[in-house]
Amino acid sequence: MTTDATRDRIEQALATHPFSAGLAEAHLRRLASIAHEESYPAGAWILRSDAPADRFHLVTAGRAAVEVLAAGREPTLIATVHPGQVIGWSWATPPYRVHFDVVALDPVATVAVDATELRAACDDDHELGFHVMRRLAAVLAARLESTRHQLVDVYGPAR
Amino acid sequence: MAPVPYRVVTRVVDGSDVVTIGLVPAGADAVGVPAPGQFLMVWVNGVGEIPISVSGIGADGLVELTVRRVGMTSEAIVGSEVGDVLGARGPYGTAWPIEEADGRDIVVVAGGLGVAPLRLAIEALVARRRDPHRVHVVIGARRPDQLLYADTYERWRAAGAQVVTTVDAADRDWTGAVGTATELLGRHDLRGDVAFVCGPELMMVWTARALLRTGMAADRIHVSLERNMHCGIAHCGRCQLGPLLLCRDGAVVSWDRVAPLMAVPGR
Ligand SMILES: Cc1cc2nc3c(=O)[nH]c(=O)nc-3n(C[C@H](O)[C@H](O)[C@H](O)COP(=O)(O)OP(=O)(O)OC[C@H]3O[C@@H](n4cnc5c(N)ncnc54)[C@H](O)[C@@H]3O)c2cc1C
Repeated sequence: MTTDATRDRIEQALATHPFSAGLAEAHLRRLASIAHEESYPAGAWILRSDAPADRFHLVTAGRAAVEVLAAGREPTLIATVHPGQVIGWSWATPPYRVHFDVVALDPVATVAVDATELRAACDDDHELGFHVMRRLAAVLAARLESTRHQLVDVYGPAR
Repeated sequence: MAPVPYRVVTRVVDGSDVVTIGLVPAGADAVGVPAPGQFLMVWVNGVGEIPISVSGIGADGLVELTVRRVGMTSEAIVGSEVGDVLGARGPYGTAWPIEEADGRDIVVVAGGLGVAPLRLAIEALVARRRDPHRVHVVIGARRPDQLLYADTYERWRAAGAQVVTTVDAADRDWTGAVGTATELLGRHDLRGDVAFVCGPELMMVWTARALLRTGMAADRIHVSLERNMHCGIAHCGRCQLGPLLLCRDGAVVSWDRVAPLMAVPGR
């Protein structure tokens, strides 16, 4: 059960988190109504690859790591996610399954938005859907740019 | 201009191919006191002469140089031992405009070896902070063990600077970020009004663009363009970039002056 105090806290967190800050009041309230608070101890999995993408996390405390795990090789840490950033975009595109493993490096706190409800909310209020997708596009563009920069290996020997 | 003899008095290995050496005048002559961002032409007898930024200064005319081995002359400097004598002339080039950060938040972005020409600037900035304006330092490297001067970050933090580190690859024990400096600059707690940027040229281009996206003015973004140089005194033209001779008009230049000159012809 979500108490009024928890609901207020979630609304407040969404109003200040860089992903959702600046959304219309009604949209923030709608998001808050389908969100809850989650916390993960250091070392806990926040997302597991190929699991249903059922949550969209807005990180409010702690660091998490996006990893690729495969049998017979060391886990590859691709990126870290910090407070003010978000975890997960697989909730937005079919088949809505998680792409990468995400582990808490510190105790991590998030506002977790229910993905099924969020997709439904975006479908029936295109105004909300547009703003959420536009912000998600900015997140994806930044991640893609960063990944491309890492591919260039700028700090490696000059060629 | 003849090089002044300098004796190697300290040598600290930093990672696999980088060494920081301390030099003091071997005789009565000395180079002038370098300002943060300036460089010396460092001469190795029988090998060659190359520009190297001053990464530290100290008592008795001590200058510190942080050098990566890439070719013959840098290899000879990296391989020099305490007691060896090298030549130095300078200091040359422009300095980081430290006063421009007064009354403003400053973001210092250093990639790889780029932290060497910024070290004196960071020291000067943290020493001058007497107001609530902040010094944000973002340091990037390929791997955690390639972060230079890692043992000084805590001191900079204790002096009030925000120091964040990011690497291209690490394991879970790493306490900084994995990603790029440009991605970090999107963070709200790393916003500033002025920036000093030094690193590989591509990294500086991307960083300058990321800073422009945060709303920073192009003339407040200062980069250190370390193109190949030869004479150091604006005679030979080796380091010409458009209308600029980088050994005289740089290496520290503001982005509004160089952005139009940075295009690379395709092939
Ligand atoms: C203003 C300025 C400040 C510098 N500060 C430092 C410093 O603090 N520490 C340090 O280790 N190096 C610094 N450099 C770079 C250093 O001068 C070069 O690494 C050096 O000239 C290489 O000479 P070499 O004889 O060892 O190698 P070379 O045989 O001349 O070159 C070996 C390889 O390095 C490449 N190279 C040469 N010069 C440069 C350059 N300027 N930038 C990128 N690649 C280059 C060459 O293209 C070649 O691939 C600075 C350069 C400038 C212009």
